[in-house]
Amino acid sequence: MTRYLLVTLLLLLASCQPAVSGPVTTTPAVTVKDPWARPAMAGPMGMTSAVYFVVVNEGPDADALIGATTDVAGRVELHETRRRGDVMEMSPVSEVEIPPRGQVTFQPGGLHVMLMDLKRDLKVGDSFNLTLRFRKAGDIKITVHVREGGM
Amino acid sequence: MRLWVLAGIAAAVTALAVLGTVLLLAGRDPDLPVQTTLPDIQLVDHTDQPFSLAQARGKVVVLGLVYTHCPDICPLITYRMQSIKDQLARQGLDSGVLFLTVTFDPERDTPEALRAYIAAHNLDTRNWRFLTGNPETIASLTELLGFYTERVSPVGQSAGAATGGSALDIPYFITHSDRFYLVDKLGRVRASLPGSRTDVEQAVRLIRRLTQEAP
Repeated sequence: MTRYLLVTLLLLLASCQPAVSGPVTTTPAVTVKDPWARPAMAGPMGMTSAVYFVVVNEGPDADALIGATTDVAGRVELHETRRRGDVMEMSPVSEVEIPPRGQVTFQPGGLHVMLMDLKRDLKVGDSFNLTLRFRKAGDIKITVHVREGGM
Repeated sequence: MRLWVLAGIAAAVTALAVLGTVLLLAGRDPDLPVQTTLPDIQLVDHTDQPFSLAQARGKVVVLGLVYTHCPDICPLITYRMQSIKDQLARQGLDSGVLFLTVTFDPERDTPEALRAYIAAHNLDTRNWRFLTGNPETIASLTELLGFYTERVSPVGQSAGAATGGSALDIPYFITHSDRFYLVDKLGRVRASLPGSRTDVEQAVRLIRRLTQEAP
């Protein structure tokens, strides 16, 4: 009887142990917060949209956003709008460095992911998937919500 | 000679616009000097109806300039104009104010494209017309206002130079001024607001002043 109780107790204790085998999960160094996009219509008029978000790098090394893909657009580019006096000029950028233990904000009037040749309408309230490609962190898939918004 | 006169007017309008913008960004309400008078040009609205700027006389006009392929700044300008329109409606001032948005990309921005833009941004078109028209006519308006536009291709080259032919052969974007204008009941431009950075409350105060002027 004593042996039976001892075995039962050992089994109960074993069931309370945290798992020590299998993959070890760690917090990823790069995360993406608050993604959203402007509404735009697809079709022959070929409107464009822009995606905004915040990239947070909690790691000790710099990383870089080097591209993006989505099935809602035929062409996806990283762009930056810059102010020159009261003139706004927009140009593509090949990559955006994300500093170690820092963050970069993609926002109206600045950095954004440009969606061209839209395959479907992006209406307020819709959402779609976007994959951001980082040099070190690899691909990060995010869900982007469509809404209006200002600076 | 005519070119020199136009250039002089555009330079004066630009100088006044810059001064006004500096005051606006400093949080001070500027005086509202006459900068120029809108020409009586013929355009087409988003419902395919002809529209003459002279039709706006008797109302205060909030005049914006955008292009629908602009993903970043033009939606902000439109968003600011919609916010001003909403504020005016709440204050019961909207019936005396007409909102006009003129495209500076008329080759692509047909009335159908303007309708798509309105639908995409869910805009209330009561008292708001979106206008397109002859490219030369619209270029004369932007020149008069000193509103800068320049086509660029996605790779940063001049679109026209990059193609060696029609600039519509490849996609292009447009580097442009970030402003919109307040026009009095006589069709005179009285203020240039800093576009996407416009303070909505301040704009409403200026519009109120213009609505109180005798026609």
